[in-house]
Amino acid sequence: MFYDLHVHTAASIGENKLEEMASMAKRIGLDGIAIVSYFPDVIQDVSTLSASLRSRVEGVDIVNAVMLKPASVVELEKMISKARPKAELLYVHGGNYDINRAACESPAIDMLCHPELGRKDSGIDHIVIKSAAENNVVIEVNFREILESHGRNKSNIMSSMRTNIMLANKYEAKIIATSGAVNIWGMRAGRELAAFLNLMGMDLGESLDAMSNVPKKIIAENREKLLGKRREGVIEE
Amino acid sequence: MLPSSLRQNKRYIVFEVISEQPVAYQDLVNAVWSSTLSFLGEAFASEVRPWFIVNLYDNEKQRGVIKCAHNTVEQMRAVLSLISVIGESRSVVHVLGITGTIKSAKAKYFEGK
Repeated sequence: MFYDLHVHTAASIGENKLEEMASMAKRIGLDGIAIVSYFPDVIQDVSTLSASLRSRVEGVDIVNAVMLKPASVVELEKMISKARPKAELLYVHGGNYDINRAACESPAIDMLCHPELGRKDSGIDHIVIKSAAENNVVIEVNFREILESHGRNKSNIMSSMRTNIMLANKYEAKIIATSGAVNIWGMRAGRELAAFLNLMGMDLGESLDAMSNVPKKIIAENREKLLGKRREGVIEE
Repeated sequence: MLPSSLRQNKRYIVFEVISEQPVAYQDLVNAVWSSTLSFLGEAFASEVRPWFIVNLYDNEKQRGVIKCAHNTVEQMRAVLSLISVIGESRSVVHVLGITGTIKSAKAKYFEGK
């Protein structure tokens, strides 16, 4: 079971409709995709959305994810309190060190996206990664950044990703790869993304886990929390 | 020819191309080589030794087979995933499976499908 936790549809910054993205996901063997919209865009009713889509594209689980893009740490805190009760998954648009750090220090955040975006370093240090491990914040390796860059820039981005993977291995934080696709041509199979993680320094077994069990667990936990079956801070043995 | 005991172990990657427009075979070969050389470099490409099995390419389904060294399958998967344009068409190269022989690649992915 493979998941891609970061794709955009025409409802946010993407080109294709939800049905087209789901259809492509099914074709390349993905079991679930997270449709990301930027806060404060209208968050669609996920339960209705999934039910109507499942009737057309069998087997593809659609998850509602919301991306926060704050200008400051204070704004991030305000956004979290507004968006968390409505979103199945909550992401933070990384790149700024202070925001990367604040995101990893908040247990309400599920994933820090592209922490190295627009930076010369990887955007994460030993303090940030420790917080990410403690608060179960997943660090993203965004494949679109690689696809859309060339030469020296591509090499620098991959170098930052390697650093983040090394830190995650050392401090036992979670890392996953996503396609970050804005159209169906940017989508990639989970197994291919796992191969990419493996080449960036992650153990093959762990990279397969990162594309299947880790996202599956995050989705299940968040859905239980939304339905009130699980309380914040309660860890299941 | 080297005796079989001295030949390098191989794997056969069966793939399909999903594209906006039908892609020409030669454009596909060029895209794979370009991606291999830019991502892995000339030195490592010599270790991977990617090789297209020309007569197994199905032009209609855009399905084909690439041979590579048995210990470089993950690298080839990553190389194929990095291809986003073939010729002038936006494309995705999707790996259908890996086999140890051409015979099993034919049986699993080409015959009767």
